[in-house]
Amino acid sequence: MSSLRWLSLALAVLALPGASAQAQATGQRVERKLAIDPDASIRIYNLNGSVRVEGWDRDTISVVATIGDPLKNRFFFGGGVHGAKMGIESPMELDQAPAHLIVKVPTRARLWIKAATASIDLSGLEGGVDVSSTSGNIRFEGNPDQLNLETMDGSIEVTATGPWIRTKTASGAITLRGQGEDVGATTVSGDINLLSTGMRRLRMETVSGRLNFSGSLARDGALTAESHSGPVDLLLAADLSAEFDLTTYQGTITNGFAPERRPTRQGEGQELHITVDTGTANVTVRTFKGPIILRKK
Amino acid sequence: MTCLELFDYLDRYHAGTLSRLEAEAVEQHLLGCAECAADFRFQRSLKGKTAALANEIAPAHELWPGIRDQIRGISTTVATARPAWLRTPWLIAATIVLMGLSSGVTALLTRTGNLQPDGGSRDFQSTEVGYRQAADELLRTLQAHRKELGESAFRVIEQNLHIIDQAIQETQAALASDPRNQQVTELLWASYEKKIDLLQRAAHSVES
Repeated sequence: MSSLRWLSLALAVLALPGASAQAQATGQRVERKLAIDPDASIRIYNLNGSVRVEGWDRDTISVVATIGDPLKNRFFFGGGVHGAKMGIESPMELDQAPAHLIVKVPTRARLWIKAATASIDLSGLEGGVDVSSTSGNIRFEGNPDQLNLETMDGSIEVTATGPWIRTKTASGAITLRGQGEDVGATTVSGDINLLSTGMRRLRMETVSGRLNFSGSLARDGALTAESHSGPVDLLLAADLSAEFDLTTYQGTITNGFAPERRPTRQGEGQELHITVDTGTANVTVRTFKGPIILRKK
Repeated sequence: MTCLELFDYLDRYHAGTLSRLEAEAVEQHLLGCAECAADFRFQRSLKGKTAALANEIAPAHELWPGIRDQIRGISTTVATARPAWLRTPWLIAATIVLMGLSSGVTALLTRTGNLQPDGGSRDFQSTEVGYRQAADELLRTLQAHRKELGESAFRVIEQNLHIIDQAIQETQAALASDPRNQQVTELLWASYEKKIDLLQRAAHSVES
């Protein structure tokens, strides 16, 4: 071997640790693209860091991944025209260094995302979306065909119009804005805030969180709220025509919507069954001891 | 059985005209699908309300819009029920766990409307035992995956389970002094369902 080749090899060996350290500090950037069907199924897996997915009007999936520690983590990507999957692999999953994925997918793609602490930000999507996280925050904006978002103690923030929307947390707060046909929000101790511009059928459930509804219902809409100890506060459009069926076993009912109608006492609790206008919509509330408050917008 | 298939069977299930095998398939689906179980209970309570109306007297004018809207609500849900592709093998496995414990829970799903603790009803007790067994089984499974879930996430789940258990204790105490209160009974079952749902979701989150 010539002395020049030995010198090159020695320089390369000397440079290696430095290069690795630099990759760790700044992250390794990887880009991938793939032609894909407009309604392809896409799976994304990234435990820590962030995932941002944007719908675009192209039959292509594009990914930019920034991997925090390329020595420990590996970006994987594969698939064909009908579907693709990608994510961050780590031999020790819990120790996965934060990685950041920016993904562009056809708007009608069906999306499945799994995370642990990674924050998830989704926009411009119109297909089915299913997200499961442990403690990451989830934000969604779009008009999905199906939307299912679950996190334990992260928060969920949705602005959407669609036929089927479900959101669930344990202690995380849920904020939902829009005009869903069939909307469900469930927590154990997290608060739920629903800002409706004409939702048709919605159900809010909690054990101890606050349930807040504000806005209008579809003319034939149905709002159901169920809580054990969390307060239920409904701020309703003044022109709402609805039948109200409210019951609390040990709590109180404050009727600021039709104040001339007072709740009746039922054991330790209260009931209120009234029809306002012709009663085309339905409002049903059940609590064990959480107070129920009706207000007019 | 999918959610859509279930919808085709529910009316006949309420009417008691399904074969034993079909009825069992319906019950097994309801055990693993909280949303269908909630719709089932809703339909059952609706059936109870309509059955309570006298046959010879025309119902009050304002009654029908509510019933009509509630029925519309059901069909909206079923028509847009969660598709199969959103379901996961782990949840199916969890469902199988529940099915294995079905003696008590099946009683719940099939007779919730009449289940009350007065007189030490065997159905009520077996239902509650079924729920507890299902929750215990799921909790054991989850504890086996505690490391994968992570300590902080496990603590969050424990805290929320504690909140649900407190709610269960309070409703149980209320039922002890007011055993015929169907609304409190339903709140009790709802709390148990939230507990099982939370455990299932936690299990789902450790699925890779």
